[in-house]
Amino acid sequence: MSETDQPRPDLDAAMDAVLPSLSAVGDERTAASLRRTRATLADGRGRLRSGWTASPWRWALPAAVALAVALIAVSGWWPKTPAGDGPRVVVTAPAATSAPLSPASSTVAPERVASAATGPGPSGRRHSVPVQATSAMPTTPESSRPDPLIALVRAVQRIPEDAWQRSAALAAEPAAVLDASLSPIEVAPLETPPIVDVSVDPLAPGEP
Amino acid sequence: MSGAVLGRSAENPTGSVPGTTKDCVTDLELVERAQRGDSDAFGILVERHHRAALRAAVAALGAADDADDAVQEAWIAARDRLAGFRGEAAFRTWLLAIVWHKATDRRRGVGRWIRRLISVDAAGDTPGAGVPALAFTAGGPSPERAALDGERQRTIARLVRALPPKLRDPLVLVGSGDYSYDDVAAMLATPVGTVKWRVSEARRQLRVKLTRLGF
Repeated sequence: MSETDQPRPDLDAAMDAVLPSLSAVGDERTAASLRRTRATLADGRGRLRSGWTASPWRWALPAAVALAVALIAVSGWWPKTPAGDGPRVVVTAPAATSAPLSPASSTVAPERVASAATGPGPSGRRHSVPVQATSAMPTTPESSRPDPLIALVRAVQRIPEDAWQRSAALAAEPAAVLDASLSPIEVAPLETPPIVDVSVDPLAPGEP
Repeated sequence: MSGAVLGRSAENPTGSVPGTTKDCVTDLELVERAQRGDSDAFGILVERHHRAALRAAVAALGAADDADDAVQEAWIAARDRLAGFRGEAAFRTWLLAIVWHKATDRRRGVGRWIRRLISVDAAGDTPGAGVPALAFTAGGPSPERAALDGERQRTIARLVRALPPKLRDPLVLVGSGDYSYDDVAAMLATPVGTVKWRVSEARRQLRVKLTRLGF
């Protein structure tokens, strides 16, 4: 027998005092319940006042409530995407895309923009969402921070078509290099005077 | 059985049956009369055993409102099954078993679970939640002693409610003083020896917990 398992007459007495109160019902409530029971039995149909427990709705209604709560909870976690294709993020070209970017590279810039959007988000959580390039109008406004790549695309799109063609033609031509004929530079021979033999007095011993 | 089960009238608002000496008639005689179609006899049975039935339901459910509904269901079921009552057990025991079945069925209900979950202050309707502390009377215990006893009573009530149902149910039923071990065994559909062991084990666990709490 452990230390906490010793006989405790005082605790037993306290339990005996408390236990009847756990199922106690007052006279007033008993009388009210008796009156209600009499009325229910005298009704003949034997149906409760609320009819709640005697019907299948006893289970159906709580089940429906639980199902609704579960659906709401699940929908909060489910990604909000159109049905069928799965999650997709559409990255669009800017509004001025009515004119072709260039004859051969019209989708280069949007693809690069799209690839930049697949990295981890601000929260650090990586979204594995496929990205599709399109020329449709953007559905969301551009952020206040300008994208240098989009600015570059717009600048390219502002180049007139004839200027673009001329530049492309010039770029395709080989660069002409003019022949430069240079006359040889004549350099006169340097003449230096001969060194004159000068006699110098020898230093006396002890002089600095 | 007709709808006029209890034979109440304006002259007899309490529902007592004229010309019937209720105390001298046994339950078995009343049951036999009720089985022959005497609705007044069933009314006497209701009046005799309603309190015991209500206490049993309160012991199972805690909340008096739920217990009231369970007892009504039990009386309706008892009336409907009365033709099958053979007198092998006392009517009271037979009725209490029905009451307990209805109450525990309600206790397992999803609706009750949700209501308890939603209810913020369910303890106010729970019997025993407001276990009265000892009164401060002249010549009685000191205020400090009375406060300590009140705290101990509230702790006991809380610990009893926290017991598993297998231990709590027989403890509360036997502790109520209204039911014998045989009654409780019939209600719980458990052998009497098992009921006694569970009551003893419940009390032992309560003693241990109270001792650990410093009481």
